[in-house]
Amino acid sequence: MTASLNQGASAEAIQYHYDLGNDFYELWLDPTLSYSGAMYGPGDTLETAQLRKIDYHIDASEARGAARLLDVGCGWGGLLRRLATEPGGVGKGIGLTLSAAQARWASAISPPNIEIRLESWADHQPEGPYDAIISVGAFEHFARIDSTDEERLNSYRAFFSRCHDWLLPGKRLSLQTFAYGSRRRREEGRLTEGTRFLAKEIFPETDPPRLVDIVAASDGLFEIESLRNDRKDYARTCKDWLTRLRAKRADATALVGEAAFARYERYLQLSAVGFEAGYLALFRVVLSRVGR
Amino acid sequence: MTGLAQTDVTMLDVQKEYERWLIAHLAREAGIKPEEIDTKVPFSRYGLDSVAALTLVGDLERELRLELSPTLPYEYPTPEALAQHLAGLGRRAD
Repeated sequence: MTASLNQGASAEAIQYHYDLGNDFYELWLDPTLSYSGAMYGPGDTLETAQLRKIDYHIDASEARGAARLLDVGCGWGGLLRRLATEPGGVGKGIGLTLSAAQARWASAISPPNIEIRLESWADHQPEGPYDAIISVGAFEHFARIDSTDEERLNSYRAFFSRCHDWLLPGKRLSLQTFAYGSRRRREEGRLTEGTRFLAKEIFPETDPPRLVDIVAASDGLFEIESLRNDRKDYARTCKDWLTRLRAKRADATALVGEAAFARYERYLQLSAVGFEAGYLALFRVVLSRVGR
Repeated sequence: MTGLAQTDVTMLDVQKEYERWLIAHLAREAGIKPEEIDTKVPFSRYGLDSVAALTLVGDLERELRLELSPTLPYEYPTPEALAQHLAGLGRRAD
């Protein structure tokens, strides 16, 4: 990985958060281990809302029946496995993650047409073009807290540029990322106690984007077909996670210790408040590739 | 009839008690006098940011020995609304 291409959080920083152990996350995430904002419809539980979110991205990117799909930041591979087991399925699904624990776990249980790689998008060299790209909960980590505005934009631009190179003409990228809300200026938001806690204790090196970053960095490469801010969905997801984590307090503490448990409890509470109050946003953006 | 009326009176008393607790908490945190707090005015007016909201919820959890939603002060954005909700919680628990 070259510094000029990817100014995002390092593999070490990603592993600090995501390599706490699969057993720990299995205690309080849903069965697909979706670790990103769900999409709630009437009567949904966390489980059904995570499936609704997965299906939303599959539909939006028109991935069903695609010959080749790329999932940037595939986590534990839940989306790829759901698509692979559906009618129509996918020819070949490739998932990228920077977490070794996720890659090992997902590789072990995925069908043969799903390939999980421990690799950054900046290093990815596909064997052929893609019919669809999905990225859920990864874009957050593409810029560092100490990078300049220019470096941030370059990093986001490099990501869209790669996706543009890899996608066939007219095909889609379905992107989901949390972001700073528009209710506060970025500098102001970065200085709050809540943001500092999250940046120091939970997501080291990570600095989420703002909506303008996404728009500016994709301009000329992609047309934004739709844009949703589903921040209330993320607030509810965090509250559901918190309830589940607290219900498994004894098991969780035995796995990761009192301090890590308290850190996660605080992180889920702060995030719920951030999304509820609008300090944080949850964007789901469908982009279609422009040009030949 | 008598039973229902009694319940309502009790509920109102409990609500008033929560309001007093919330007023004391807000006054202490914001460094102002309790008389300056209006129970119909949103928490945000008294400087309640995300961390202060969690402090409030944390203190309430210890007080009530209950686990509460972290976003309660946003779902019930005034002392009056939150006190009413908390009084209702107690009734359901009975």
